[in-house]
Amino acid sequence: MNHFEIIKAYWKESVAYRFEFLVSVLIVPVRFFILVMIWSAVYYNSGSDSIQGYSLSSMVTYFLISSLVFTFVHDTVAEELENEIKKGNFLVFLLKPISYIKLGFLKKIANRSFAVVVEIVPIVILFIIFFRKYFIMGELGFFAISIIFAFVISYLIYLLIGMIAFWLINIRSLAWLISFGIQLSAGLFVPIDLFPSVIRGIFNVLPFQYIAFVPTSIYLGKYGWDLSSGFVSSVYFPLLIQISWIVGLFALTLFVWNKAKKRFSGVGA
Amino acid sequence: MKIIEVRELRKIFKSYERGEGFIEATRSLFRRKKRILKAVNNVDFSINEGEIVGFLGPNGAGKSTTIKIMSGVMYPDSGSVNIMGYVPWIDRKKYVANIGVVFGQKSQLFWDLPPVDSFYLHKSIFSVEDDIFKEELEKLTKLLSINDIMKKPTRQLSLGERMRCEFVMAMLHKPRIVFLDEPTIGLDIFAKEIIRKFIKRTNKKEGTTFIITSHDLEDIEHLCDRVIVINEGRIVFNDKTTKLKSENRKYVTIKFYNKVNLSKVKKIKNVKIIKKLSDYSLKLEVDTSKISLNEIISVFGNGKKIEDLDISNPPITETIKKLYRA
Amino acid sequence: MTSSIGLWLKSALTHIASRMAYRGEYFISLISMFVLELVGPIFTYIIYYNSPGFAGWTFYQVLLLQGIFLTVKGFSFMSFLGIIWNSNITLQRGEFDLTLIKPRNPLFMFICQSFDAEDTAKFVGGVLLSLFAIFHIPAINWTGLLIGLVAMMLGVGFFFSMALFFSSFIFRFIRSMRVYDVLEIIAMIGNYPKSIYPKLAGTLFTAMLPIFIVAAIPAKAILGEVTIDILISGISVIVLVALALYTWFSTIKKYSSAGG
Repeated sequence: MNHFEIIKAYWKESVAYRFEFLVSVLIVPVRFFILVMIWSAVYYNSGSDSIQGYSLSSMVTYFLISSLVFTFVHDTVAEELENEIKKGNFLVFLLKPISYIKLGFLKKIANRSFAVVVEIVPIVILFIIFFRKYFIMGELGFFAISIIFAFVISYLIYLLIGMIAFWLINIRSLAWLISFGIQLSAGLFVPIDLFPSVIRGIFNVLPFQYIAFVPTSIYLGKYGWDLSSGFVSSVYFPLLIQISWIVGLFALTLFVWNKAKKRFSGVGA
Repeated sequence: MKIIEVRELRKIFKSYERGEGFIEATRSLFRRKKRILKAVNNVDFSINEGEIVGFLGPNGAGKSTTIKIMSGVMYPDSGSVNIMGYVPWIDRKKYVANIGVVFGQKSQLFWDLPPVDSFYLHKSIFSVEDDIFKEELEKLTKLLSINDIMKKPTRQLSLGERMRCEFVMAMLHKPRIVFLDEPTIGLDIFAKEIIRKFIKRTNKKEGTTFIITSHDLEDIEHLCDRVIVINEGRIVFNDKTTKLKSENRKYVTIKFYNKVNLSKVKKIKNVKIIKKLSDYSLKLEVDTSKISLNEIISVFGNGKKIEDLDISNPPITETIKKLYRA
Repeated sequence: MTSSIGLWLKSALTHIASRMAYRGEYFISLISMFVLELVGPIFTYIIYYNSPGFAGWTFYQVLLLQGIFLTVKGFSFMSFLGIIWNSNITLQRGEFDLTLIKPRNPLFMFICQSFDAEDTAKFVGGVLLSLFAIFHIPAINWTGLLIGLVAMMLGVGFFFSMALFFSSFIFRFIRSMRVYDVLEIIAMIGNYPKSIYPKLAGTLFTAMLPIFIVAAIPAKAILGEVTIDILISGISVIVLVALALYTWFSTIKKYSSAGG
């Protein structure tokens, strides 16, 4: 089975949907612009240079990097799977000699590669033109490794969310709720260290912060974080935790998938 | 040689009843009625390699379920299925590499891309070798006349064009068995003919086994060697298609010199009145295994009272309707 | 007129009933809908937790603004914004003709068909949030409150024009846009006081694309400050609605004469 050919086929599909990707290119800069305005106003009003260890520049850079990371690991598999199940089309995938899980992952690789070219590169260029003064160059090597782990983690999480559709037919809202929780604890809206420590404690035991917050923190050189007792500063620690989440989530995925297939054939249609 | 063996297959479905209207809907929030449907209720049959078999049955009778179990997409509750030595739902990945499936209502093609792109994806997923793929693609493209349309995005194709492309995709990996679920639904007569010719030819030349479910009795008559009728989860007919046609039942249309005496005719055993065509003629249905045509003629006064007599076979639809009603 | 309101109500209740048939899922989705809207308030809370926040605004004042935004947005989503994704679905299935053959105004029918039972949570949630914020604000201006309510209604008009424009776009170009994302941007812009924006953006969103009329202006009014902005934005909304109606109906005309 030629995996590269499969990825190529899904790349073509992404090209067919390029218009939808383009909308993103317009949206992300605007969203970004608003965030910068909000934070500029806040910093100005506070009269101080630093909020919880972030200067305005590092805050703005944080939002840039975390948005890019989020775009890189973004996944539509939850909606797609729900759609296939709802339309009854899902069984078409059971007629192929390949696992849906594998196929979805290859599709994500194709889809996101396209996104890198069409969404990420233009956004970086726009950022350099308009917000250059806020930009902080960061630690790239471990960052690259971390986002690849984040890529896999987010795939497994969204796949699990999509699988809920085998039990509850209409998962749209539940998926959004979980997605929201993920984005919140992934640090998309605001760096996690700005949350009260109780909340941060909860986030620490969930895998979601490893999707965007941790890779971005690695980029900004803040490896490790407050474990409420001591500060672990080695970059290997978060990377290791990412790996363990991948292993754990993968096991959970296989387990739920088996149950889901049994459930699917029980529902009929 | 038996290629499909199904023994004592059973499958039940549970469904919940939901009420109508606002009040019923609110009530259903707290309590729902459960319904159990025996979709497949102890089904047994086998199919030989190279046969074209049709599955018939009223909607909800269990034929789609049986097909889904045979294609490995569904698990039965009990019973055994052996196809080409595989248990479909257990050896799924290895098994499906040898079968082709066309669902009349579900598409396997990329919606916004031309079918040819879906074909190449299919090639990778089914690990079809380059030269075999090229050969099959050329052959199938010609047979199903899709050369002009396979480079247009699927969403721009008509239903008939799309179905032909679905067929090509299902056959690209040279499957030994092909399952067709309502393949000609909604198609015009030309599309139907192309597809029927294709099935017959492939069956003859490659020895491919075809399993077809359809409501289109013409499909069944034209294509199938054998028909299995499923009603309420059970097999009520499993025999050659030709048997559906005759089955000892004949229509006899009689024209008399005198006016028909209905009450007298009603008393005759093994003869049923289908329709009174006029004061002088009747259409009857007779079971020739129970009463011979000679006996019928003699009943009516040694034929002296008969001006005209016509005998015909009841159409297959009548037979099917009976089987559905049983 | 009353028959139209009756029809709208009946279709709204039918939509809710059909969602209720999904029992638990419906309740989860109601809760999800509301929680999702808490992004703004949570973000605001974090800002005020870590800094003095926005100049001239206390936390609860900003919360009031966001509650108002959610109320208006929720009402709009529930009542008619569904026509946007309905345009998409209808187009895919070629079903819009079914709407055109009913003996009523097609826009009205389309709106009735697009009622979203889940977004009732947004509306109710917005009201609750606003009340919660008001409860924590020492003094409110009662005339300002009336003016604020008028402004909110104009805000509904703003969303109405957006719904029509997006729907027309989908019918015209037979493409689905990432409408959620565009609406998210609108929500982001409108969820904060006008004062944080640079002058140019402030003028843009008051006069040309009057997002501020939805919440920033009403909130200020309730807190005792009414400016000419409400007049400018009001006129802008009326112009937009007229333009949107014209666009929608002419698009539909083209659609049906083109044979769908």
